[in-house]
Amino acid sequence: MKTSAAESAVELDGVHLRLDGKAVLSDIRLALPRGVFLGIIGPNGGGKSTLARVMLGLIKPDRGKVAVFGRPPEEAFGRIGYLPQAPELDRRFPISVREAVLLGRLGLRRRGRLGRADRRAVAEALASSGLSDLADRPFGSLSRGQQQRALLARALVSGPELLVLDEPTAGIDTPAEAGFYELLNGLKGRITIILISHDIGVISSLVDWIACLNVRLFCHESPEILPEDLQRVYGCPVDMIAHGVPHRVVARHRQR
Amino acid sequence: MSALFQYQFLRHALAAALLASLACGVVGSYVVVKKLVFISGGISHAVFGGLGLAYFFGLHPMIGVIPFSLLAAWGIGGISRRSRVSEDAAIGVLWAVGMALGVVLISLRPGYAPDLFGYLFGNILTVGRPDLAVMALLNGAIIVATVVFYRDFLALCFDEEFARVVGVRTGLIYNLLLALIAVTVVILIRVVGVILVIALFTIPASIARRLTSSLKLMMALAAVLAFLFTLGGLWISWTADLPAGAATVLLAGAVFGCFGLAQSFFSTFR
Repeated sequence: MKTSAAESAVELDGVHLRLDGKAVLSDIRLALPRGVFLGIIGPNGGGKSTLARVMLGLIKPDRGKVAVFGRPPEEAFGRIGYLPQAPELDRRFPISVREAVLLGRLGLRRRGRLGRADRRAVAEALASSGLSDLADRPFGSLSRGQQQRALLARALVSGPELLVLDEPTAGIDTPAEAGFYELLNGLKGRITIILISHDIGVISSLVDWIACLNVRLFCHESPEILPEDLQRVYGCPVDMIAHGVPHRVVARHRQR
Repeated sequence: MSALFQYQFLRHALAAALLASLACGVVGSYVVVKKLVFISGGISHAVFGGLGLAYFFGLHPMIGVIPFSLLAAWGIGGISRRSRVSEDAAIGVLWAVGMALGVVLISLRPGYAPDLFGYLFGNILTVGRPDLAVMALLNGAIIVATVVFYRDFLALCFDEEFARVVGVRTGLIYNLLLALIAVTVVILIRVVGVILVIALFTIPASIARRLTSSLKLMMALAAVLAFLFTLGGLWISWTADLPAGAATVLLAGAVFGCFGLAQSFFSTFR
């Protein structure tokens, strides 16, 4: 076995997946070293969420190898933080913000119990997300942006080595979005992050690597997106207005 | 009040009401927040097949029905999760087939089916000591499972996919939840019958959810409400000479309706 496999946070080798007779992922190859911030962009229906779910072990690919920290993803729980795409959570669900975040610790518990250390971790995660004052409010009473921050806290509360974010800013307003990306920027370099987004401008100002996905994956070991790759995955020329103007979103809202 | 001490069957009815309320407060809350109402309806009606089976083989109806109700629950769970048949269609099929099986098995056995109506619509006044013992045992199992797996159930109900990522064995926990539903159906059979079970699953828990944002509190409130409804139904049945199960459900339904109206009134004119 190669030593590099053990060093990779995520390794995909020849992953193929068909759903309902249609190829969703084809020959996906990726070896993502630890500590790298990877952005994945691509058109809707291009398989971005599916790829995230394959990496998390939620879907088994038809063919190919998936490894997280050199092991099958379902053995890596407790080491992965996950923020699903606009989760359809019931607004009336009887759960407080604190309890919702506490669920992120389930992967670490011993003998089925959560203890004082878990509660302390939750308090810290809530504080760093700026949600301490809302901790005992019902989760459903929060605004969309606050909910996303709470769900990010839930993903981070286990101290994961790998963070997978699927369209984390879909449906939240721009100031909340800027705050969210600042939170991510603070994590950059400390853990491996995979951010799925359709917002090409923001992504290229944040990430170390960028990949374009439309059934096939084109990965670059730099944050530069090649226009020909975009054209390849989107099937038409894409105007990269924001490219070369890094931190555009963050900066604009700081001035207010 | 004196009647309570005078008649043993009333004391038994009271004990049955208490046990049933505990179970449907806890499990009904899961049913409501995880939106398993239709599945629960399917399980409870399929259980009637189990009653027919127990009756056919001359088993005690409460005990004979337990394995069948678990089977029905996991059958519905398995079909709805794996097969190509859409979930609600699968539930509908098991719902009706279970009922039909029960009717056929009961009619196959020669002689008059003594308490058929009681199993369909409940008859809390005929609950005997063996019934109470089974109900208490099943309640114990529900409480233990809920305490041990509280977080797993919470994670499953709140966000199933996330639960899987953090290592909750969601398939197992989901089947356990279905088993709790099946067991609760068995507990409730004598109180409101297989047809009316769904009311005690949903009405107390739905009211309770509007009053609190804590799942534990919701369970406690739902249990208290269910107990009040069963007591009220018992009282109505006693004074107006009506079937207790149906009276309980009508009372619960009326309170649910009033509660909903009052809430929308206050939210409109506040």
